[in-house]
Amino acid sequence: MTQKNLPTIDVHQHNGPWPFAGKWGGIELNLRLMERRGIDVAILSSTEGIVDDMVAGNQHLAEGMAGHYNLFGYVVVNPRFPDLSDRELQRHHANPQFVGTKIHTGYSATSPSEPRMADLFAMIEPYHKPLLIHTWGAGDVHALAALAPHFPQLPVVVAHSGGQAWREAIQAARQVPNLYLDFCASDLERGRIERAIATLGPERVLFGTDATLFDPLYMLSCFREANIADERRPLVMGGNALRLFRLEL
Amino acid sequence: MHIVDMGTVFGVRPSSDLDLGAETLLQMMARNQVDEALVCSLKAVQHNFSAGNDETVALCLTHHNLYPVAVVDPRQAPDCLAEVERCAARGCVAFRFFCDYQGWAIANQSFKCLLQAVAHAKKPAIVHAPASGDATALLGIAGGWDIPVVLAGITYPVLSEALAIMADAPNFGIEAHRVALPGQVELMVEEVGAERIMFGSWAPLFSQRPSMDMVLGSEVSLEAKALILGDNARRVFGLTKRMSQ
Repeated sequence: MTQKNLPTIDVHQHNGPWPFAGKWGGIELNLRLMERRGIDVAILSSTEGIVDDMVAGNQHLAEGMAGHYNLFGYVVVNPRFPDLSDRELQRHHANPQFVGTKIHTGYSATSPSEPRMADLFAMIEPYHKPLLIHTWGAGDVHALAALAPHFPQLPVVVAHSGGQAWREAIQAARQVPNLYLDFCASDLERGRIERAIATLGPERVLFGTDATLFDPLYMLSCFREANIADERRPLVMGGNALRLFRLEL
Repeated sequence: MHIVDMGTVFGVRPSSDLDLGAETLLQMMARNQVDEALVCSLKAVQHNFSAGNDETVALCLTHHNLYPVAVVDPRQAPDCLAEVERCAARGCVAFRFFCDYQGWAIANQSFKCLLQAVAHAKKPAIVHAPASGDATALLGIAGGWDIPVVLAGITYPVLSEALAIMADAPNFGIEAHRVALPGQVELMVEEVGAERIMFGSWAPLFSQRPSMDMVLGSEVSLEAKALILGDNARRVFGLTKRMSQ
């Protein structure tokens, strides 16, 4: 596969309805949006697993994405349920379609600064699969920057790159080599993607959309508007994810 | 298609090191093929509404694709009541209220007085209503008035509230900003029609294309897209007259 022919890989999708006004659906919505917007591959976590029932959500995602060669999954775990999380990791990481792990700091109400989060990182690291962790605000970013260096073998994707704290996220990634940045959000302050690439190089910036909460077109459009050099764009849009998640397509 | 961005700004932000100057805005508009924009000064939002509104009017006098939007600040009432009349006389096409950036509530009586002054001047009001209950409080004040009231800062957690209010109040519209949900454009058009939805990006602070592309890439009719991306703004803010000059 040449760099020019690299697939577009969305490293931040969800599966299942959200508790907001909208036109929601199951796996078929992921697939329809991907086809319509030109996304080749997506890595999903279960919305149900994040906002409600972790075990049921992971199971429903495993069932939903089975047989779809272009869909991969994150196992949702929760620092408030360490034993259950351990079982979920063992159960689902045996399935090669699960290529990463997901933690939502907001819904689990757990900052990366809390000891239980460090315990969960220690549980996740031996699987050698990247972690996608929700971050919102400078507090999350600074706490993650302090925690991640203790787990150097664990690639950590900073979901949303802290939202409005994106400058802090870029600085954190500059100091911590196992941090990777994903910028999906609806409040798209201009310049984040360009600044990250200028500071870090293109290798640690990933394309994510937060679909199906958001239509992938929203972030695709943001990346299209960003001033990214032609030779760097394929890496950001898919090449980095292909390498990081060791996807076999 | 004639594209109008009803929500743009210029100036500086203490929390941002981005270039938010008018030239940057104009370059973004040219690059994204946005024909016209309503613009307001960040100085007017953050510090001095009078000086800020003056620089907005001055900018729009030199750029005929920009239309001035005045900002008044309820925290500085009653001093700013006269500013409504002054800005209306100077050709500002609307007044914009920033409860989120300025830290006041829609229930604030000073805001109500200012909004009444805007209605007296027969100008549209653009009101940020980002929190749950904001738009409902605004409905209690301005529902049924004979000026357009455009809800701004509406994101997915409060979208259903905004649509319910628009169903009740024909004078209420919505700024299509941060339109990110799948099917959001279709949902809005189904619920309230295309005639009261207007594209606004907040460029150059925000990227300009995402919400615009979400309208263009939606499954509503071409006519509805044209309304949302420009025709409604021209009608609601009276831009047609200037276009013909």
